[in-house]
Amino acid sequence: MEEIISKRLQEWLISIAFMIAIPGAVHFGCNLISPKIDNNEYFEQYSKFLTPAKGGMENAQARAALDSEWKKTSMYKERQEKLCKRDGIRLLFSGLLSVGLFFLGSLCTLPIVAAGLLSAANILVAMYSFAPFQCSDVFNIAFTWIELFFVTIGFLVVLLYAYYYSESANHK
Amino acid sequence: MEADVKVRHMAYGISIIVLFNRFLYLCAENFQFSDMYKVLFFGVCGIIALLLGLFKFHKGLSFGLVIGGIIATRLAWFYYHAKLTDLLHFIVSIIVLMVLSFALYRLYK
Repeated sequence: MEEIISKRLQEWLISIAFMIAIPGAVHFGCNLISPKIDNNEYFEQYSKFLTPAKGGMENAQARAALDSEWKKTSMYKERQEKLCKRDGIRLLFSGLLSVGLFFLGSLCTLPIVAAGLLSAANILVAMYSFAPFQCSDVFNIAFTWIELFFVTIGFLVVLLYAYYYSESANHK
Repeated sequence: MEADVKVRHMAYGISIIVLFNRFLYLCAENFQFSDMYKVLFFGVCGIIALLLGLFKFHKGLSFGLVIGGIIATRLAWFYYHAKLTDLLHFIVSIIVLMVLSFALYRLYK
């Protein structure tokens, strides 16, 4: 009895560890290969650029004009390009891995570990789904189509295996 | 062991809820449906999921489809606009109530 309980506990712990470790590994892996963005330097320069317009609500128009000027600078364009690359890398890695994990979770024979893998895949879907893409319009549209592709494949895999397991449970 | 299998079914149910609604949302946005069609799309897909979940499948699949269907029909409300007809809003809610009532009737028949 004790052995069974300890085995189940181990399974639960492995499952929880998967749920934390897989999205964490993807997040840090993506950060590692994405271009580095120096936010401190960027916002310092941005703040300096806007300094003439500071001084309250009456300067809102001047501020907006400077803001649109800022968007023409090379620093802004360079940062946008890096953000776009980062979003693309995150989408591709998380998308591919989430589909893989849905497969793996469905094929895994240990039910609790399988549930952990499926949950990790859901967290990966949330990672690329609930953050807006910061690219040009063309890339944003392309990325949402790629996102739809990954979500569709994952949904079909989950539906298929959920149907399979429901049917086998019905026949028992 | 039965409890372990239930956990797996629950994971499938939650996955279906997340993926089903995200799939509908992305389809509606990428195919650029107008608000009227979004209401119809979410309403119809949600009701089909409810019907399948309540009358056809069991375990995790049913759980996912029913909750996913309810969220999808609820999401249809977000696209509901004052300029659209009140009738549409009313029809979707009545159909959902009818489906749920019939499922309850079958359950306790």
